[in-house]
Amino acid sequence: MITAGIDIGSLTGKALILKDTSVLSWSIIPTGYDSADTAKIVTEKALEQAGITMADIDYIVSTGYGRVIVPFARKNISEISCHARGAVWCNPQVRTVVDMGGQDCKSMRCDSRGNVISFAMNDKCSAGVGRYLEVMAKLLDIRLEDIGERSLDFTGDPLTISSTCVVFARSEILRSLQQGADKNKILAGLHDALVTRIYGMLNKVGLEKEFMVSGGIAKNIGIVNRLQRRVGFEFKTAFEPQIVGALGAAVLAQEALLEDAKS
Amino acid sequence: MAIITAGIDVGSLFTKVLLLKDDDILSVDVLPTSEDVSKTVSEVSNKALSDANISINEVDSIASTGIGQNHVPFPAKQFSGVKCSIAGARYYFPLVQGVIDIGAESSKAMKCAANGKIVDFAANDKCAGGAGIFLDTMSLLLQIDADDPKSMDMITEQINITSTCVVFAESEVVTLIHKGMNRFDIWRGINESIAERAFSLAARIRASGKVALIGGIAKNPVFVSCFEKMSGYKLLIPTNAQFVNALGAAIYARESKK
Repeated sequence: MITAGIDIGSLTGKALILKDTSVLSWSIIPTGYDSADTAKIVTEKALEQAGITMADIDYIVSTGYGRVIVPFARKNISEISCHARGAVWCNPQVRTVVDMGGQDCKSMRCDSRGNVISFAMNDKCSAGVGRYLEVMAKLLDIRLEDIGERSLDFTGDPLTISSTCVVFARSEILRSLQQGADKNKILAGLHDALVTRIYGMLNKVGLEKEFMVSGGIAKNIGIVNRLQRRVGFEFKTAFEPQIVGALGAAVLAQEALLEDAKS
Repeated sequence: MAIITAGIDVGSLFTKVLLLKDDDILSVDVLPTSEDVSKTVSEVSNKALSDANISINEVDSIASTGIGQNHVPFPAKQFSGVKCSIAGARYYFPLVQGVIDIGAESSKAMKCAANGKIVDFAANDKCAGGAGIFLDTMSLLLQIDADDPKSMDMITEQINITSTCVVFAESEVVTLIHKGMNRFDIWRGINESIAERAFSLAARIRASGKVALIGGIAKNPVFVSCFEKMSGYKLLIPTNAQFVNALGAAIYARESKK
């Protein structure tokens, strides 16, 4: 049984090919102007890596922001369901998942099968998503890949940022910079602020062991470390944090296929 | 003996000064608020004094308001923005029942009784989504003069901006520009989204009847038309809309002198 999960996000398109219980291949590409095109290209790349063709795939499920425009998908399923399924597939003990990308943040609590029990989502305010750090990294002129590490280099009291809104926080930080504030101290404050918002969201859905972080934010050690301290228990990241949604879609494709076979 | 007072409104983007002689406005002046706020206040005040052709010694009393109200380099009493907005709006419209003030970084909706007492108010200074600063950035990006009365005629079709957050809206606008949409249609969509947020404040306090719009935004015809259409208000707009808070401060300075 070979299935594919395709996750078309606002910034990247992901495809993953699953054969029974093993992941054959996956690919990640930037989302282009045309989402349908992106879906096609990213799937072809994954197929090529797996050494198979479209005809070998039994069932395709699409997910993500652009899920309705994937022309060859049999079914589309919300990214909330897919992320929870994918996380539990990676680590069957997982019960709480945070997925944060550039444009949104989701947190879900799920059961042992990866069915969602409760969830919260923010895609309205950029102060609670990865974009917050992107804007600030640009302002501080530090590469996005480096900010997490540098925020941990600072050991004193982090800068207190009183504004929530990215626009207002930006001017606040600009003033601090002009007054000669240490960039790492600012970064520590920014990471603290974002972790506080993630933590608030987690409390809304209820926090349960095991815990997984996925999405681009899982690659930021500054966030992962602080969140771990705040939550009070260790957590897992997926083998590839950006692919969890596509993986969940492929797992749900397997289930749909079995369901079809039964009826 | 006539009383001359000065009202100073130190906003996050602009500093406004108004000189009042009894019931007559002598002069109004405005400059962008710089890093050195006290210096900006001195500069605008000097301009206003020279426009009115009087010296600082002739000013009987000074009051300040706005976010930088305590950065005034001369003795001045301080009054809240809400009080000043209502007092200033009542100068123009004695029967006003509600006032909407949209500043660069905050928006307020206020309701007052017939005697000018504040009955209720709602404010947003947490999210740039409903604030004037977004319009400033967008008018630069789209190269549209916000106060141009002709911009209304350039609108061809309805475009909606779906993002609430300014950061997301900015990318949305860039995408629309790349798609080759008419920039005046995009501009209308932006104004509508700000108007929507402002109206939600007004609706929260159930402002109705005679409602005034103050702040620099009142000169923007696209915003006014969007706001009136969605709210059903026939907005009262004072001639010196940008200086209403400074006027309110000057009125309070005068009262404290009586």
